[in-house]
Amino acid sequence: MSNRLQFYNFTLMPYPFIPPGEDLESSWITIPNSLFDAKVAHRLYTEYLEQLVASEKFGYDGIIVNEHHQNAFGTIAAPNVWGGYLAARTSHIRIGIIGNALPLHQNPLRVAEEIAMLDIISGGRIISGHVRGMGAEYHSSGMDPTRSKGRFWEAHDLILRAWAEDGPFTWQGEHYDIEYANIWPKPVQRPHPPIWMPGTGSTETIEEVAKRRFSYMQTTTSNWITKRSFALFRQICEEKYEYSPAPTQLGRVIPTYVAETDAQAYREFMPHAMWFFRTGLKIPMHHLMPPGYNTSAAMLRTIQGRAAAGVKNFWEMSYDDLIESGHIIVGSPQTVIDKYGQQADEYGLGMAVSAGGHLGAMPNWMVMKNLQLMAEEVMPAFREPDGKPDHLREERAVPYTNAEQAATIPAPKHQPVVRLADGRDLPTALGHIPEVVAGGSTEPPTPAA
Amino acid sequence: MTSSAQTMAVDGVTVAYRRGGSGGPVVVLNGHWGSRRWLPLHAALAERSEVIAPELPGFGSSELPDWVKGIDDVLLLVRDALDALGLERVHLVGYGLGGWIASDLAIWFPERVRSLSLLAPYGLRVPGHPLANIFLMNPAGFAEAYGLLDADAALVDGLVPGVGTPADGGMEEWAHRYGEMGAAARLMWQWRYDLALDHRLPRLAERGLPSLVVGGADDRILPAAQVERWAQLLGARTVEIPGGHAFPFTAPRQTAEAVTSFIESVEKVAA
Repeated sequence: MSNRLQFYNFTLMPYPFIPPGEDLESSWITIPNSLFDAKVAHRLYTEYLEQLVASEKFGYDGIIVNEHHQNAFGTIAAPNVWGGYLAARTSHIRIGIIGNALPLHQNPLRVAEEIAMLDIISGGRIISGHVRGMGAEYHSSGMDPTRSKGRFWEAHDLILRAWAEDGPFTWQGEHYDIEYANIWPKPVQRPHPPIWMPGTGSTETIEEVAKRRFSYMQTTTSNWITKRSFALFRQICEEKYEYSPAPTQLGRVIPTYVAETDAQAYREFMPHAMWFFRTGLKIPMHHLMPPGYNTSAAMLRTIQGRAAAGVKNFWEMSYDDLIESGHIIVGSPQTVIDKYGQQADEYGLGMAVSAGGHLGAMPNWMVMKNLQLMAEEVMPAFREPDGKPDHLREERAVPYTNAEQAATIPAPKHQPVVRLADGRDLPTALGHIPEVVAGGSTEPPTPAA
Repeated sequence: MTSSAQTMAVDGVTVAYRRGGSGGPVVVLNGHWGSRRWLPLHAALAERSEVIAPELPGFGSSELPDWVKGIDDVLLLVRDALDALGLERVHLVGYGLGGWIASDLAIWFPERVRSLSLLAPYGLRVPGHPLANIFLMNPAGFAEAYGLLDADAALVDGLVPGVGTPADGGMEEWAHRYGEMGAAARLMWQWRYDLALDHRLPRLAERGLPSLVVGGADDRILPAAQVERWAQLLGARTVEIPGGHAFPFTAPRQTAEAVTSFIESVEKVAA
């Protein structure tokens, strides 16, 4: 039994208290952080996190955070920190870190360790997204965009090996040279947590994700590009790698707002959608694409493709453009059901990301309304008769209770002991029992002659 | 004299170059913009010298092989290009990034360099006076930042000091410039300076390498303090040319005169 469509609440955590996009060169890199007030952000972050936590009770399949730096569009600079918070505040829902920007980190093993820690503490609920980081972030971090792609794939391969294989092993790559790759801890999901990779539709990304049998998440784009990307993904899976992709290998970021009626939804969503596209995504090409981040051939293909398809910059689109092109979905529950249903049938969509939740500068109440209507009026149309998210029908990687753990998890091979002077190994669990420790001295044992 | 590029294979890589004039020889290394042409500067220098203007890897029609990871790889390629062209010792001229490469060439292959003429060279760290961010600049501000506003249009027609936009010359041109800036980024994104030059450049002066540093009077990309620092480290004379960072393009005659008279003085001493 599995559901027809999974629902994810993906929050960027913007800081929307900035001038309109028209007055900004960019909402990235150079926008002065004197505009950021941490006291205001305290309330914002609290609300954003509560919205994610509430998503579990509403019945979402997963909640998602990501990594961006030095911008107003998305202020989660350290998504694994939020992952720890969310793991502590929820118990069953999947938590996606989509993703860690691997090339921006000096040591990929740090990412492997943090995700492993989150996976353990969450009981195996982590989805690990791996991304290069937006081009703009290479300006912000000083990292070299010309080495970004190489570092990304090498870091990814190193992390997966560190998760899946027993160490220590030696890693001698082009970008990372690590004599002892031997992470403590390792993730509880074996061999590793599910991997998602976002993409804008480039053939190269789709090919790599299909090859590795990971999940591909189309970032905010039009229906036309999404449909083409998904078709290409399935084609590569089937023709080149000879398997049929699972529906959960195809996700799409499709900011969705549902309200009582089409007209109500249209009115309520407009300012927030427009803030997102017009101000949050105000990122001119010279910020978005640092030299060397892509090859000139890839850039030529992209720009020619965009010109041929008449693709506009995000901030040049009207609200109706965005709805018509399918960048966003807005409407009554029935409208949303129809559009999701069509994308599931026609495109092969298996995971709706940003399906309800926060966008732009939405007030908390509006986000909660969006989440609740999505859960109660839309989700059931794509669920098995029990209405459950898939994860509630699956075994957790680690049982939730101590009693279940004691009943099902074998004792570790080694019990902690203290070697006594007389050579006996005193089990630490019993070391306080006089009968067990009797006669024992804690002087170092005499080495064998 | 020629303005069309010739190509040759060096270390298995296609290297494009232009060559004209007689005397010298003078090798001119390009900066991050203005490739694919026999520039008025080249022509003016070629009135007194043989000028060879190779295109650095990834610029113009020169290939950028994967193995070019940094400036050191470019140095070997340039040295081998000199061999292929039969040039034993040359007067080196370099603009911007090309000035940085030229000075490294003089450091590592001093026997190949008769003199060093640096036009607004990059590569130093001068606290408080950093190089402008050539990789992040609004194309709308190019003309002002580079000093192209008052330039003779014929001299700067089609020259774009960065990636720019597809409106400048079309999509293919734009993608080409994106690739060229990527080639520059591979050499100098990280780092934008080489602190070792502070220690190495004075040793060039000690060994008697004649050098000249030329700066633009109103350069807003490379601050005047950097030009002064170069001159100090090299024990070099400086010449100031009217204009901004684009002075080799906008004032080719004055720039060429400064370089040519310096080269003549070097040759006179040698004679």
